[in-house]
Formats: sequence, structure tokens, C-alpha cells
Amino acid sequence: MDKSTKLGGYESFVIHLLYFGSTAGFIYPSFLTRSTSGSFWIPLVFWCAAAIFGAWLYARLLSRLQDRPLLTELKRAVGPIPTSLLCLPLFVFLLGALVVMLRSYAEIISMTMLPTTPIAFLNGMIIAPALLASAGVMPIVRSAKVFVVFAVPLSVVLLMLGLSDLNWSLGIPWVRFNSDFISNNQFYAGSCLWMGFVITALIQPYSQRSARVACRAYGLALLCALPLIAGYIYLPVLTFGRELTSQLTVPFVSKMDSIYHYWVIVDNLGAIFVATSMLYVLVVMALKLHALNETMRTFLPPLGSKIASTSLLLAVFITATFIPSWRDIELVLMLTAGLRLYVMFVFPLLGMAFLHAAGRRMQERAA
Amino acid sequence: MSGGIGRRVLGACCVAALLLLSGCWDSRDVDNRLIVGALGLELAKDDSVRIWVRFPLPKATMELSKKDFFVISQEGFTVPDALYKVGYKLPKAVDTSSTRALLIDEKLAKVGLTPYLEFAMRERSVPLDTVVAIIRGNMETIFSRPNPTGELSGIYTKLFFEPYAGGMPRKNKTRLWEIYSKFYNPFYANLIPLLKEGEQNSFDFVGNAIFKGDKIIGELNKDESLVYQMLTHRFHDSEVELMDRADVRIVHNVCHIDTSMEAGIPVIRTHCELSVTLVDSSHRGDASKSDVVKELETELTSLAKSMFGKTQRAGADVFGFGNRYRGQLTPSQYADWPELFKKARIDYTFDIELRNTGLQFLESPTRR
Repeated sequence: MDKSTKLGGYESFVIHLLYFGSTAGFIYPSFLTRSTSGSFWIPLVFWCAAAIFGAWLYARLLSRLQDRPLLTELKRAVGPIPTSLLCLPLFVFLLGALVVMLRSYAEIISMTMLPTTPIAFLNGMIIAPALLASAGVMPIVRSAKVFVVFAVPLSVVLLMLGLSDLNWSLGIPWVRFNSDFISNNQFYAGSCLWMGFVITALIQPYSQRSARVACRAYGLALLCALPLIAGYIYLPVLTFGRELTSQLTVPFVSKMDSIYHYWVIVDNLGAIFVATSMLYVLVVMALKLHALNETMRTFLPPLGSKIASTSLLLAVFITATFIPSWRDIELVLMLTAGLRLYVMFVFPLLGMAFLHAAGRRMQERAA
Repeated sequence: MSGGIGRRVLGACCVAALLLLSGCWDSRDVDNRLIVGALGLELAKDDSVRIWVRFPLPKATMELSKKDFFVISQEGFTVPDALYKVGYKLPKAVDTSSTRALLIDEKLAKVGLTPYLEFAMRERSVPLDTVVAIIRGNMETIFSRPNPTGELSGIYTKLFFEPYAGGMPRKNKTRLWEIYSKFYNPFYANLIPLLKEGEQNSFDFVGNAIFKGDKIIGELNKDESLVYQMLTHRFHDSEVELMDRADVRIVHNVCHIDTSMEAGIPVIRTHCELSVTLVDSSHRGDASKSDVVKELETELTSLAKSMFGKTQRAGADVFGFGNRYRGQLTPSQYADWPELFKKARIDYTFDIELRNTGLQFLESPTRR
């Protein structure tokens, strides 16, 4: 087991890029296209700004850790009970995010390639990320560095193929400032795409410098992933129109299915897209599992945490298997939007306040 | 001790893996499938639908049946129901995932397409890039007659429309996803190629069926279809336009569309720039180049007038002009577009350049 858990800028960048790729293609576009009747790029830009603000808040929190893991430092500063209360929503968020990712990816495979294969069998793919997660963070990062070399170029090729059959007039209105998305719960359900920095905050100790590097890596990954995210949204819209796109469960898979070129030898581009998404999903699930394990390790004794990790894995598998349909996955994401907003903005603010108060107490005691 | 437990767990996992040997759920060998090449839909009695399915046969089977295809038809309440019932008659699984052509009877298209096409989009059983056409004539004859040019079932229809094969600008290649997306788009009406049962061949192209919603409400002839292709930027390759005194080939076309809203009435201005070459001047007589250009311009203007007349009367915006008004209308007004399109003022101009007149005869052979 590798214990040297120090991520450099490139490693963080790769992880964030994979995180965007794991969610942008098949969960996010339908939420965004249903959230507004105005221009789609406006909620997109809105979320980008919110995500950068969230990452900045986390960077501020992490810069106070002095080379210690976040939860350990919080526990040391304010005690186990306040920390566990603070972290409970975070734990539920991580668990929910893992269940949703596993179930939604299994559903995509079922819809596109293996319609009669039982969902429980498809959910069994969690074993691979679980093994990876148990090996520690650096094996995950090394896998991420390998996967990104295959996944990103493949995604770019698929996006370029997606440029066929575009009708630009279907994207109108290009500039309609409409704030209707603010009151739409689908908009908030889309928050799941922007939370990569929460996962990386939990998997390694941070110093002031490494927090700054991680924040920059997130910003750069967001910038690089933005064309990818915009492509997943706009390519189906410019092909099928806004109305049909908002009706489709996975618009980009349908877009891939609609492509026909004499010179493209692959018959089922939708399946290629789903297979490419697997590279992203496996790494991100391993990271989420690792973050969950780290969270439990903070609060449980070593032997207890091993049993808890196994129980957790089983809980994720069973919950994912018992979610009956895609609509229920969407419902889960909508119902847990508040939890994600807490994790993105309130948790780092509270964390900073607790650490600040603990620091002052220490200073007073020393004086 | 812990190593022993680990080995036991590993052993248990290996034994559990044996369960996977019970089989794969979605596995079906290719030699146990009958792959659908072309699928036909027509109305049957009591609101049910009759499907026609044409399967290409592999060479080994051909030697026994003396045919390169096999046809079967079946009635059902819905298309999936009929497809399911086809399975009762066959020794192999029906595989629609490689369907190349979907042929729909004109009578069914007059009743409405939505109930018969929904399955394709919902279940992804038929590829979204399947070529779709409306059939006028006997579906049984079209499906049962061997393709005279020898292509496999389905491939024949696909090649008929594909730009890289038999596709020509007037043949308006339409794919399944286009039809479905226009059902949902209030600014875009469908225009689907219309094929007639042929005497020498499987079918002939006769024009394009205009749809309002999911029902046929009119028809564009072949020449009007050419102007449609120019306006919608679907023009590819080249197309010959026959005139009274000379035949020209349209080799290049650029069309500019400008839209505005004036006093609540949509104003649409189109301007097409065409490059043409002269391909036959045997009836040209003494007409000059400018006469040829003038004649072509008059011809295209007249075709545009009749094409816009037909579509505007029906309130069917097959050009998708309405999409340009999405920014000027509020979402609650989108449904009013067909009425607005009826009142729209459409101006069209053609700028024609006769690029060359081919290899000219200095003197006509008949005058020698």
C-alpha cells in the first residue's frame, strides 16, 4: 500500500479532468437543457463561477491545514463530535454521489448495449474501483494518468465527429438573459458536475502551497473541460433542437447514434462513447470510495474502519441495485441538491470558522 | 494467519466467479440472427399495422433458396408487437439494429406517423440514421421483388439516397432522427421523400411529401424539391436542370437567408448564388448566354413561387425558417409559428453565373 499521498499540479489536473468527463456526458446535459428556456451557456457560466468560488473557499480552508489531512485537523481542532456533525452531510453526499454514479452508469450500459443483463450484475463493476481504492491514492492517480491518455483523445474525436449535421439556427436564442433557471430544481441537480475539488480535498494532506496548486489545477481543468461540457450540451441541441434534446434521457448518446459517415468504420458510436466514459467513471468511483474510506478512518479505529469499508461497499452496491429506474436517479440528484450546496459552500466556511476559533483559543492559551 | 484468511477469501472469490460461466445475458451469435435490411409499415384493418420485413441472406443460404433475401409480413397492434410476432415464425432472432431503410406507406402517413415511430426512438431498436421514405404503391410488390441492380435489401434504398452513391440533390435524404426531432420542433415541419412503385425498378423518386405535425398534407414535385435543397443548404454534387432551349448543370450553390419581423409579420429574404454550366444546347438555337441565364432565373423563380405557395398555405415550414425567430418570440409564442409562417412575406432572388458552356462545336453537325 502506497502511503506517499502527495498530489502535484498535474496529478490534480488529471483527476479533475476525469471527474468532469465522468459526469458531463451522461447525467449533466439533460438537467441543464431542462433548466432554462433562455441561452444554455448562461447557467453553464453561472455554475463555472460558483465552482471556482467553491474551489477558492476550499483552497482557503486547506491552506490552514499545515500538511495535515482536512478531517484529522478539524477533529484535532474542535473535537470528534462537532466534526462528525459537520461531516455527516459530507459523508451522505459522498455515499449518494457514489450510488448515483454507479447506478446511472449501469443504466446507460443497459440502455445502450446490454438491455437484458441484470442491473445487479452491471453494478458489480464497483469491485474494480473498490480494489483500486483499497490500494491507496497513488495507485488511483497512476491509473488516472494512464486512463486520461486514452479517454480524453477519444472524447475529443467523438466530439469532432459530433460536429456533423449541425444546424446553427437551432441554437437560437444565443443571447437571452433569462433567470428562470434560478427557480428550477434541475439547475441545482446539475451541481454534481462541479464538485471534483471536494473529493480531492479529502484524499491528501495540504499545505498552503499545495492548496494553491490544487486550486489552480482545478481552474485549469475546468477551462480545458469547458469545451467538452459545452459540446455535450450544444451538439445534441444543434442537431435535434432544444425541444427533443430536453426530452432525451442521454442526449449525447443519441447524438452519437445519429452520426453516419461513409468513412466511419465503427457502426455504433454510442457504444464507443459509453466505453470511453467507463475510463472516467472507474477512476472517479475509486476516488470517491477512497475519500469515503478516509472519512471513516478519521472517526473509527483501524479494524473498525476495515469492516466499515466493506459494509460501505455492500451498502453502495445494494442501494444502487434497488434504485428502480433512471427517473429515480434524477430524483435522488434533485432531492440531494441542498446537500451538495452545503458541501460546496457552507462546509468550507464552517471549517474555516472552526479552525480560526481553535487557532485563537490556542493563541490565548499560549498567552 | 491473515495470509490464510486472505487465501481463503481469494479462493471463495474464484469459486464465485464460476457463477459467471452460466452465460451472458445479451449474447446472440451472428449466425443465430436474421438481420433486418429494410422495414416497411402500412395500415392494416382495425387500426392495426402491418409490417414488411426484408432480410438479406448470406451466400451459403442463398444457394438453397435461390434468392438473396427473405421477406415476411405480419400484422400487430403496434410495430414492436408485429415484430415480436414475426419471431414466432422464424427459427432465428430478428435483429433490427442494422436496419438501413424504413419505408412507410402513404396511407399510414396520412393518418399520422408518431404512434408507429415512437418505438424506434424509445427503444433504440432501429438505428437513428436509418433512411426513411414514403411509399406510394403496393408495399408487397416493393418488398417481394428482387432488386434489379443486385444490392442487398436495405442497402439498395440507402444507396438510392446517399450522396456518395445514387443520391442526387432532388432526392431529399431523410433520416429517422430528423423526422423525430421535427415532431418536437414547432418551427420545423417534415419533408420526406416520396417513392412510387417502379415499373423497371423497385421504386422511382417522385417528389417529397410535406408534413404538418405527423401527417402528410401536401407534396413538392421533383423540380420544387431542387429549390428546397438549394435553400436549405442540402445541395450537394450537381444537378441538371432542364429548360426549354438548353439544359444546364448546377455545379455550385450558395444561399443567404435574412430574416426580420416587421409589424408582427415575418419577413424572409433568400438570395441564392448559382454557378451553372451548359450541358446541352441542341435546342438552344440562337439564344445567347444571357438568354439561358434569364430563362433559368425565370424557371427557378416560378418553382420557388409554387413551392412557397404550397408550404405557406399549409402552414408547414419545411425550411426551418422559424428557428431564426426563436430569439424574437417568447417560448409561449412558439406554437403560433405555423400561423405566422402562413402570413410571412418571403422574397427570393437568384444570381446565376454561367461558368462555362462546355466543349463547344464551332459549327453544328446538322448544318454541315
